[in-house]
Amino acid sequence: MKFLRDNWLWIVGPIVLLALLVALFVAMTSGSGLENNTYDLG
Amino acid sequence: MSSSSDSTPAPASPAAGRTSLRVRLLLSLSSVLAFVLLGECVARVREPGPFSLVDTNPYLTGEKSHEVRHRPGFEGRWDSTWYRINGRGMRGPDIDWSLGDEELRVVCLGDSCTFGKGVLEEASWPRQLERLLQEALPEGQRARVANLGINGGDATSAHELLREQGLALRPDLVVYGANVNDFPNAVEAVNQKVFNEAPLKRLIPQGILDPLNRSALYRWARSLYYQSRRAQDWAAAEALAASMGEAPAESPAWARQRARVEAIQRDALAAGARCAIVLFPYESQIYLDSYDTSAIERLAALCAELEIPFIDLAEVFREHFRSAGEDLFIPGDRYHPNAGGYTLVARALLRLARTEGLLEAEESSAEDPPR
Repeated sequence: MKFLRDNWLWIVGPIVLLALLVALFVAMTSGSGLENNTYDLG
Repeated sequence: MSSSSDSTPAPASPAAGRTSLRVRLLLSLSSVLAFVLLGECVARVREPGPFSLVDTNPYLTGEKSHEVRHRPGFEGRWDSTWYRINGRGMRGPDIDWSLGDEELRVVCLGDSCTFGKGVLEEASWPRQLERLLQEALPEGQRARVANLGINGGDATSAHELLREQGLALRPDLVVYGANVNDFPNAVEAVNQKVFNEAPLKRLIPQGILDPLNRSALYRWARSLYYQSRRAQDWAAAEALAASMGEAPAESPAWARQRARVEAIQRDALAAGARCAIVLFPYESQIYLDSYDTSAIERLAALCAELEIPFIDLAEVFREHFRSAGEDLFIPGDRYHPNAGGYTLVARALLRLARTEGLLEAEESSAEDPPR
């Protein structure tokens, strides 16, 4: 537990960074909600 | 007096430092993987239907988009929806269609709004319509409704499915759920707008974007993003609607659409069935104070000319929203109604069944829209 407490930034930091990167990626590749009507048919 | 050198810790060796860094990096990687896995599981629990860790492709794809069909007997999750496909390739349970004549049979054609993308099968409007019809029929009579809707469908695929499967079911009523897919150049205009607004999307191969749609966590993130930009999407939808209605009536695109509608009507009538068309709304038509009606008027005029009963679902949805204030679309989705929205569709068709003489008329009923 001490190890985890001492290294909490190594746990939380990458998760926060990933969440921000995913949000940025979604915003830049999704464009418009109108694309809901273009379907994923595999 | 002790020497200061006795209390100074020995410096860590470089090897110990590298080990510590490796351990930390491993800790970071493990945390990220655990977060992604947990997030994916939570996102999948949020989607309706049984839990599944992966998406499985439910389609048999032909060379052309209108040749897409469901895999008969398929059950699994794909693109936020739980699919349960019967042995005939329709959404829903297997039904013995060879029963007696004391049945009211309805065949439902259309795209994802008929299929019921994003909702359970029992919440789709064909299944809700079946329950309403069954309640309205005298004892001893049965209602059977077949859902031939397919994601991405249009009037071409609807007509093909009607001929492949629908007519063999001897329907009394054929309902076609029209949508923005049916209007000339609408899908192309939407695609163009989407790609113009997402420059990064043009740089990333579709082969990379498509697998992301297999992730429920990505779908959830995307729906949150869409939900955050409702106002912009509504304004864009209205601009597109205006452009859809501007295509001249004599244009080849509208001529093709007319031909498809006529073909559905012709085959339905030849089989002894009535035909009806409903036009699905999209969000901006419901939640904005005013909206462009040119495309609706165009399709309504075509149906009037062909004497096909036509239901403008935008008006049905707006009336209900103005009185009840309920959201009628799936969050983050501009097109697909939620279960409550599909209830309105089923009730509107129940009223149509009465006016068409398929059911006994009533003075008033629970399915009448609130005034």
